[in-house]
Amino acid sequence: MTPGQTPVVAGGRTTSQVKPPPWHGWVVADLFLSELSSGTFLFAALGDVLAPGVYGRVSRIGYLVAFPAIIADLVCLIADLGDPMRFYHMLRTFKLRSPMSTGVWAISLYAAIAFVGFVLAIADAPQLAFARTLFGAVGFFPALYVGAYKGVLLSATAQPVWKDARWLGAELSVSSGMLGAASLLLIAMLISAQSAIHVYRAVLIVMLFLDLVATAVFLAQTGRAIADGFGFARTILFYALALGAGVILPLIIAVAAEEQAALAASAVLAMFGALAFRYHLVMMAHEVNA
Amino acid sequence: MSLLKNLLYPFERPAPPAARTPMGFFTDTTLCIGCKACEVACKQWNQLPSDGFLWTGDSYDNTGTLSATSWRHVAFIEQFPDGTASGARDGSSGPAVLGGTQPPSGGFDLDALLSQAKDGRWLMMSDVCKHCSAAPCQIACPTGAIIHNEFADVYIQNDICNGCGYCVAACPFGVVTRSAIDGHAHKCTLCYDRQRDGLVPACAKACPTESIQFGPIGELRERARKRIAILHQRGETDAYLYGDQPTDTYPSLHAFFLLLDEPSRYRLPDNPEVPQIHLAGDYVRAGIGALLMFGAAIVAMLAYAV
Repeated sequence: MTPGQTPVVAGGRTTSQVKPPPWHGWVVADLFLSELSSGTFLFAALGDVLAPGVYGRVSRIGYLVAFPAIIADLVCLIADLGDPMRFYHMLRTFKLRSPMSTGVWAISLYAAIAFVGFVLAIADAPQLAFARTLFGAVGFFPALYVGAYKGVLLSATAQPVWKDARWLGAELSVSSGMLGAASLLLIAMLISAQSAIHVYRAVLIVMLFLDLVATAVFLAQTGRAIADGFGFARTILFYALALGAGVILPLIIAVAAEEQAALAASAVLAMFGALAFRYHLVMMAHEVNA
Repeated sequence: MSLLKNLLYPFERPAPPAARTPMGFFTDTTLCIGCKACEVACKQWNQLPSDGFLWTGDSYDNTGTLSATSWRHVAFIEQFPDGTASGARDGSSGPAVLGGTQPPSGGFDLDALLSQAKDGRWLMMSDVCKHCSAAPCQIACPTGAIIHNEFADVYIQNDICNGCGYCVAACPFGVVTRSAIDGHAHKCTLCYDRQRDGLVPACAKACPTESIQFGPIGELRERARKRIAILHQRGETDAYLYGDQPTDTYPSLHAFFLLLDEPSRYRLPDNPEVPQIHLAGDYVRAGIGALLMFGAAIVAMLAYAV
């Protein structure tokens, strides 16, 4: 009997060669909240730097959203640990080749900067405007890193789908920008910052378009594995929620509609799509491995 | 003070022990008889709890997989032409016959039975952590809990691990598992405690056929090559070593195997790949995405703000 000529393997469970990580709902929430926070902070800071007269009011609320969101994210990250009381062990080392290690340090740095932005936004004093702009600019790189590293973290594993997704870091990075644009658009509508609304609408359209391209690249690399692992019905659901309802539909609405209610629906749909994408992304490890 | 000490001691970095001769396992699957003595000895020495008395229902292998509480797993790979290795499987009663051939009435024809023996076979392999010489779990571990110890084996420091689960995701062999009992990652330690006292790991000590051999890696590789030569000489030309040498995509294993069939038949990856092999490119691509997103936002915000 030689390799390749072996007859049917009878008996013995055909289990996967890899084990899915013990990541579920907390990690889905983490993927969503960290990128909502970093995207919101990034565009709030960008608004302060580029044109505080146009974006200042919206940016202020953006800072007030970004910090609580990253705190909620840290709570999710800690709750997901097998031994949450040892969360600080993450800070006993720094490993360049471990995206989780570099990510933890980046989130810690980003959370500290977001806290300063939060305090300055609460103070809302004209004499502190420059400090807010300065801290916003300092936060650019940590916020960009927080938005991007989790895709790299997932790609650098042995898990089906994830390990083939070479552009997942770019995909999640673009998605964090889309989340930031959607959240600031909603904020601009809530406080009736008319001059900012049409700008954030344009930014959201650009981000949704980039997200569409990035998602297409992700699916080109992993579509077959997703279909094999999820099965037909689940794959259709994934495409319908994460791509159809979460990217294409809000993009069409944002381009075509002028009414604020429609724009708000577009932003909410985009956020929903980002959440649906992250849910399926995490669950792929379990279901494709099953 | 005690609380403060407990909080701070993970940050203490005592000097590691001096490196010693790298040690490992050579598992010769041609000698394995599936007795599971290794599983029992491992559980007993390491005080691992029972996994429950469960039947998989499709194999004599009821351990199923390596886990946080099973650090050795004797895989039974049952290869028969038509899936009728046992009478129970095809619903018939009576004694099991290799190849599904019914005995002639009046008793067994031994010569006929032996001549049919190649119709089917059981491959058995005592699986274990591969103790990779450059281990993806060790690279991934963000707390530094996973180290290479002085014997060059992969060891999880249980007092440091916080159960993040990244090592589980990184292992291409599905070895590391997070325990539902204490929330920490667990796997074979290659009986680090026994090694420090000059003892052979429990599984190798218990193995009655020397399918599991323990020793210095260099000696094991030499012994394995000689064994391959003997098997080839005897006509078992399919025998080969898995993991004794590094490949383009994976380092050598300190627990390597002699196999008779494709690795995937043993539920081992045919071409394992270090997950971090694309890391630099992944970071570059993520950076491109981030800069594209950031740049597009700047252009849009500037264009519409003026």
